[in-house]
Amino acid sequence: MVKAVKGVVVECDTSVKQIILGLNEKGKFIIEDLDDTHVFVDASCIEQLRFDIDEILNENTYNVEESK
Amino acid sequence: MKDSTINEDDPNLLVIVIDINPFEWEHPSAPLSLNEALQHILAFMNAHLAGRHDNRLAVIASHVGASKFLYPELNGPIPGGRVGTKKDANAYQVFKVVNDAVQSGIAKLLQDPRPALEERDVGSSKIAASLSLGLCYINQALKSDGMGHVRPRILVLTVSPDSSSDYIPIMNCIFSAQKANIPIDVCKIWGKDAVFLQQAAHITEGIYMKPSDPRGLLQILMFSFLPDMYSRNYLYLPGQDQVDFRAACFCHKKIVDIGYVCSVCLSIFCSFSPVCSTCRTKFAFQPLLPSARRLGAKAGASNPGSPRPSTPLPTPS
Amino acid sequence: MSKFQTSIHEYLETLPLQTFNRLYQKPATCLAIFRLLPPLGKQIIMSSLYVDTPIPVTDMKLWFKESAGLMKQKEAMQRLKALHIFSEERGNYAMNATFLEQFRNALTGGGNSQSFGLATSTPDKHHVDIAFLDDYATKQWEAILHFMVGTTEGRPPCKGVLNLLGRSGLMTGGSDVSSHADSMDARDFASQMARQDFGVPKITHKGFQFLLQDINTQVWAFLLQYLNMAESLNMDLVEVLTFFFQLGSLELGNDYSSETLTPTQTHLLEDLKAYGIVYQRKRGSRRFYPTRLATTLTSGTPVMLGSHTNATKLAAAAAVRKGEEEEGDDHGFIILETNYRLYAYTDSPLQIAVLNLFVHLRDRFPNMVTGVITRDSIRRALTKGITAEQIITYLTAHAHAQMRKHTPVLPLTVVDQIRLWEIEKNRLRPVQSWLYSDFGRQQDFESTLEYASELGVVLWSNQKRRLICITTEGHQAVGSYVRKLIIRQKEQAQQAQQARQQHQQQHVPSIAS
Repeated sequence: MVKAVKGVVVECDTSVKQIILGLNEKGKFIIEDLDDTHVFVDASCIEQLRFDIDEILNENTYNVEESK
Repeated sequence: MKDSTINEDDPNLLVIVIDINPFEWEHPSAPLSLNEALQHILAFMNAHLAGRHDNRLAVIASHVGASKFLYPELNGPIPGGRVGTKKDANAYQVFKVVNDAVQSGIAKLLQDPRPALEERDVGSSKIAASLSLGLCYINQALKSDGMGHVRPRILVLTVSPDSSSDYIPIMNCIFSAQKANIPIDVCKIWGKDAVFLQQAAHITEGIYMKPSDPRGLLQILMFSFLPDMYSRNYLYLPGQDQVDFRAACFCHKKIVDIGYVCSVCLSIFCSFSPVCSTCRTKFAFQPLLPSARRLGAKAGASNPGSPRPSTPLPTPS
Repeated sequence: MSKFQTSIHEYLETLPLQTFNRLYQKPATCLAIFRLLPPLGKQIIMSSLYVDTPIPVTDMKLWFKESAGLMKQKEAMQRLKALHIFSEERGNYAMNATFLEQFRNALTGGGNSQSFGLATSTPDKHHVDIAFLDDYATKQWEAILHFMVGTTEGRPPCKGVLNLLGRSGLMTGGSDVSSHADSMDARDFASQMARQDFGVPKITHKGFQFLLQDINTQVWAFLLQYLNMAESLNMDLVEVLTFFFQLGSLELGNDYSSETLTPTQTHLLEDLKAYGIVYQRKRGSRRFYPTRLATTLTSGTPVMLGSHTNATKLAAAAAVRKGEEEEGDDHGFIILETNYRLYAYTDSPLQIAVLNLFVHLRDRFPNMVTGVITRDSIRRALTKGITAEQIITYLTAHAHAQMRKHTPVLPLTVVDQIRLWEIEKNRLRPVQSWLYSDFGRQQDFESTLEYASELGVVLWSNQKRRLICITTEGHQAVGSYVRKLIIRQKEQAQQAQQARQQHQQQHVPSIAS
């Protein structure tokens, strides 16, 4: 039988996709893993997801200011 | 070379040369009095200034034996910013300053004692001098304009017939204008076609026009001479089908169909002379003699049997 | 065409014909609106101005060269019609009679409309010069900007300005904003204020973007907002607009009489004084001076406040003054290096505050500040709603003369990086949707997908796994389609079953017999 689920399709690049998969380990929010650049997640966790990804990306960027 | 792409937002600099030769304007057969024509011309100037707030204008009067800036007044107070003129709430201040300057300037010129009649035979009005003034003014304006966006053009409003003594200076002006990419528009308000100015418009890619009815001058000015360089890309404007390319000789200032051309400086003469009066080159041959050497034929005199009626014009490199 | 022209155009085009007919009664307004037109639009007007008969549409086409020319003509004509300057009737173009008459008056100085500002007849005892006016305009205008960025420089602007800031959505909240409770958006505004801590106005996203624009655009944004408000204040729109356009035609450094102004316009004068657009020595004075902000209103040139500073620089080396170099074309003050370092030759707190929006400022000297553009500083700006494009435009517009010698003006590396940082911020692109899964049969999946793609609501689909993501808008339609599909399928199944049963029933007796 056909099922319809409400949620959010997130389009992203592959590296961010991997981060999302990693985050999913902690708290399950992925409803369906679609493909390399798309993932279907619970609508309520989008803001949190955005924040988490920002954090992780921040940790992984080289900052000019710190070099001095 | 400046970049030649014309931008929609470029301001325009229009230099208007008005021929105020009283002998023509007050001629009994004149279809239009100077004052009437001036009303049209003033409205046209305002239309130009109305187009963009940074459009600029210079007006030069070409009188018999004199040529004078009417606006901006040289040595005078800087246009705008002065309190002298009586303000009128019905007129845009910028327009008013220009109109007042032009009207009073012309009135002043015409009040001066009339030039003697002999002068009339020598030169009709000083178009060449006015053109030079205009070109100098444009040059100065372009130099002082840091952005290099000002698009200059010259409009000559003339009624006088050609004066052949003016040929050389006019030609020099034309070529300078051509080199500087300044179109010269010519409106011959009535009378016979002005040969030299027709060439001027042709060479500088300006517009030449002789209105069929001079009383509709304003409409003609608005329609054909107002479009700026940007709009001209998109409009059909009156062109010339027939241009009279005849030149005037350097020795007697006669307009000639066929003449002699100096092989060195390209001066034109109506009769043969052994020494070029312009560059002092000596011609060591006799023209049109059957025994003339090949060099002689190449060097100069055009063959009377030549199929081309007009003398080839020197073009600047 | 610069930004402010587009925005004033958009505004004008919303007005009805009657308003235009009244607007066109003043030559000054005709002239100002004329100047806002594209070049060919101007030419069409000029060419037809002294033609007394309507112009056949086909005739006008002949004026223009093929393709490119005709395209421009169409464009220009559209504008002219939107502004009700031309109308098309029975294959003829006819010019608005009022516009025709008054525009001719503008060109020839005829008529008796007094729309170009009545000069005072007596010299002013307290005559002020252009430098003073520039200074005044700058101080007033900067006070507003200062207030927006929250620097303590200058006194806080008056009530009217605060009100306008709030209404235009440039700031939220406000200490003593008197809102006019009769209109709908005033109520909105009040509730907005209630949510904010009362008394602390806060700059909005729109406000930040506003700060990065050039003065002319800023002034127009303000005036347009004023126009919107004028309607709710029961002010006559035409009188307000007429006055704006009249201001644009006045001459800097001259004083004009305020006696011929209507009560609405006198009221308007008071408000404009607060923005620094006009100067009046004291309230109710019979004369007023337009400042540079006013005289360049309709011209579109960058306001060159402070271009006079050379003369007064020594005397007024004061901090306030320098900031105006902001707008001067020749007064760029920013040097940006390929290593992301930025040097700004300014001591204006306003400039510094604006820079601080997107630059990590490090050192401050008497006449300059240095800073670095970093990922964090740009991201901070981005979260405030400023776009990368705005930052780049701002930097280009204010680049130092030394920088302008290079093409491109800004180092490419930095420009690209700023754009990349903006893109990076959008690495997640979430879209609300519905996921359809568990299709029983391949053909069901295919027909649903086909139906949904026809509607254009498919976000993502996978043939193999039989998954479709549908936008929320498309959900209802696709859902009912699927439901129908299922029902039909069931019916078919039932029919098939019945058929089979019948078949069996038919068979049984035959066997039996």
